Amino acid sequence: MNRPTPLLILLFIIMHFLGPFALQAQMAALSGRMVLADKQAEAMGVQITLTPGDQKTTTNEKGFFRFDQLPAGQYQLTAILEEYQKLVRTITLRADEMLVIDLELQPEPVFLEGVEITASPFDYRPYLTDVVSREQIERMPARDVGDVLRSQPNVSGIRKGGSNLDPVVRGLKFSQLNVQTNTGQKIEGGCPNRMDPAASHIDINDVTRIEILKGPYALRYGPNFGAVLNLITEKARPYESWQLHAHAIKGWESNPNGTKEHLTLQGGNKKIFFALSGNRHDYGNYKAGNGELVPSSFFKYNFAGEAGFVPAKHHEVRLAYRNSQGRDVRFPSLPMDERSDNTHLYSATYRYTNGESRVQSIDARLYRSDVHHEMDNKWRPFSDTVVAVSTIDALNQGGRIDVGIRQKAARLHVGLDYENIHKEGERIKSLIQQPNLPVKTEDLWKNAAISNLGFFGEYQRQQTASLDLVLSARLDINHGGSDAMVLRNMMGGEMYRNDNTSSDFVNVSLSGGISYKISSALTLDVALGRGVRNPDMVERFIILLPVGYDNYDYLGNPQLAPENNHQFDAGMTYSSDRSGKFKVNGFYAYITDFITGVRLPPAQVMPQTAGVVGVKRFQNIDLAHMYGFEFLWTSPQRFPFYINLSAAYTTGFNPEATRYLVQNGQVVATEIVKNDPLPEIPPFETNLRLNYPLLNNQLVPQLHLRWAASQNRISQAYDEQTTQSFFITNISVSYQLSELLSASAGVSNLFDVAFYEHLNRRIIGSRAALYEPGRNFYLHIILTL
Amino acid sequence: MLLKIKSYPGLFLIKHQPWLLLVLIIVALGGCHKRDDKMVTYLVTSDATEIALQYRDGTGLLQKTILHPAGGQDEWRHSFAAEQGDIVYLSGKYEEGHATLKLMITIDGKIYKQAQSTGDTIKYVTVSGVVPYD
Repeated sequence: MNRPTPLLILLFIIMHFLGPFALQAQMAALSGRMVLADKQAEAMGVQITLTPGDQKTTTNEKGFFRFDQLPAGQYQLTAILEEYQKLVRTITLRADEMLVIDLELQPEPVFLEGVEITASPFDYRPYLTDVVSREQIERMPARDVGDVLRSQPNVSGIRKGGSNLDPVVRGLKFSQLNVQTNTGQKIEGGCPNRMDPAASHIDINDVTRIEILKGPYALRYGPNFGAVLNLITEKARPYESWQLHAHAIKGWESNPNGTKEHLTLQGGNKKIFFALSGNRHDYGNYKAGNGELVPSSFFKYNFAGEAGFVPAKHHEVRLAYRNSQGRDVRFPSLPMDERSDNTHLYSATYRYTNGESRVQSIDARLYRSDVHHEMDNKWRPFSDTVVAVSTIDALNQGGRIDVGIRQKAARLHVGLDYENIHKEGERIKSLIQQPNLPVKTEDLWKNAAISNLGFFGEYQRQQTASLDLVLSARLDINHGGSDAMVLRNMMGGEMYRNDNTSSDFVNVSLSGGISYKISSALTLDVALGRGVRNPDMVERFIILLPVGYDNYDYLGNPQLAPENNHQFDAGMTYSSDRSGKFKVNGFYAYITDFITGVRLPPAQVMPQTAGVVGVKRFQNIDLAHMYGFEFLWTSPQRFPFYINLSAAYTTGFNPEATRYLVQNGQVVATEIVKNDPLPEIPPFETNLRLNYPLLNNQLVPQLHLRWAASQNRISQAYDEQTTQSFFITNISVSYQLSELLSASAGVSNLFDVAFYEHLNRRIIGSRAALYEPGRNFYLHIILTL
Repeated sequence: MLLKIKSYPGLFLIKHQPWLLLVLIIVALGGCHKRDDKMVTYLVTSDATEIALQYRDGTGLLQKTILHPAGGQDEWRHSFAAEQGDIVYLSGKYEEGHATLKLMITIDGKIYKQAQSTGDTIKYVTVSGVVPYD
């Protein structure tokens, strides 16, 4: 294998020492940092114009900008960022001076993003919060949300095909994560095998921002066991006067060969405003680095509309609709492919914001997410004998209300949220080699429903100038139920029956954290929390389908207890002009009532899927442990380039797991495995990104090096396989051709390395790995009017 | 003009070149996923005097019929338009030990599946599958 570690170290050293020398070549210059005043966060993507000379640049990911080779004199600096007030400053530059300034952008008074997670000056958090911006998204050859999420430290994705990656944060996945869109709207995917996870129903080109709140600490946004993923989409916004804007993207990729298109129209005035958007993705199969063609093609299109109006000062109402369609989406790691997906998302929101009032904000939302999902095995060899078609309707509807009250240095958020999930579906099997063409219909879900009513409170206080405090709590009342879980054979006889399908829980989640500024450069963060999640639809009600990582049919258990995560995070941030910004964070999670699969003997229930070795039922086990860290270094602004170096690691284990020994497709013995690593945990990974802005930031080449270690800590209980390490090189360049037009192009997996992620599922019916795409050339043209 | 467009240089294009907006919409949303139907034909030839035949028709129903071929050259055929992904199914049985039964499915004139049986009065001869996707 490659030996990337010395190379990374060498690059790191070269870059670290190159910067100051490069700096000596610069003479009269202006540089600085833009901060969003309301969020106290770096302002990325701010368009800055310097006149006379009409020089233009855009702030980078850390809010920095720079103009070089400026003659002495007086300039006017203009900074423009959507949803913020235009900023104009007069700057006087002396000869040979390198002036550094800090500027703050104030939000536009008519459009306060009060509902978003990162919307308030009080939203400091003593735990890790990663944000992916639109600029980062548009730069990547991203085909769906999962592609983008994987670029973040300790965030991975389970790949089963060419798209619809299922996110994993710090080794936690599925319902251990709280995935939502626009702060409150949940989506329930249709497929029991999660070929359509919630994030896959949102088009990546509609996403303007992704927020990842790690740990069980943010309790305002629904039950949170391990992390909140909030996908903020393109929205309507008011304008001072009638305006109409457009944003369009056209993208081409070579591997997989495909194109994507995106268009957004936004317009309106102070009172009435709207947004319309549409997307189309048409991609073929991709070729892995070893030349293997992976059947992974897909076609998706969608459109969305949102209308808003301001009935009175401080009040705003919005109505939104989104329709998303998928066709012929291939999943070589699953027994079926998606034939069609038709998703409708509706939402109505009301917002009250008044910075001068004690009740500063009221955010209310009602939503309905309606997924109709159809999948079949018609592209599989087995369809020569049995043609299986599954149709599922998954409905998630609910709402939330959040009231923000401020008093001096403290703010309190209280509110409630409600979610109701309902699922129905069937699988029709046509035995096309049999006389009389027998057809067997099986229920996948029997009118299954889960409802959750939650009450939450979050108290934030700036205790002293250097000490911030956050306390959060929520109470969830959960109910699950279904018609009797019954599986019948062709003759109508019962092969499995469970009438005890109802369960009720009352859960308490708590968290607290402090952020302590030891000095202007050094901050310590500590957070402690207990997050509780209720068992999901699959864990409660699935009836003998191979939905797990291992080769078993799985049986739901309506009597499962909630899973509890007791987690501790400690982080340190050091930031200086000379060294840049260092951030290191460690966490430890103690999970009780951990939900896993436990084998049932064949005498109790027989498997129904060809080739599986038995049946596992979801059960709570005593506990599991998880721990890991994230590290991040960003170069100081005095460097003429920008470096981002990150590393992340997570591991976990089950103190006492049961391993089933299989011979000739039969379980022949069991053994206890002490401290068995948890399955599907990504290995240690490090990323280095180097941006070198040229032509006053108009042209920004980027080098991205990624190294993932081998994963040898594998679960014996889940018959997991090891994964080799890999080293990938990506290059790209973005170019701001004009105020209207920009482009980004690049090559991912430059050296056409054949590799697969540890979380990629195996090709169905084999132990063969599902490889990642090989070399891919891409080009995005972005038009903004 | 209802919309008063000003203050943003790029809007000039929309105001004066409305075709650009149309092009953008077409580029962004142009072309949905439409599949062409296929012509499916079932063919049966046999020298048996009676054949019990089953087939799935264009509406998805299983039809059962009895054929009385006039001889080995006599051909029974049934055609219908099918969507890609539809199940096609043709199955037959005869009672005479010396007889031959040949079943064939063609899709758009090309042989998709075929099978033949001679002297087997026990088993059904079946050809079946799914109309392939383009």
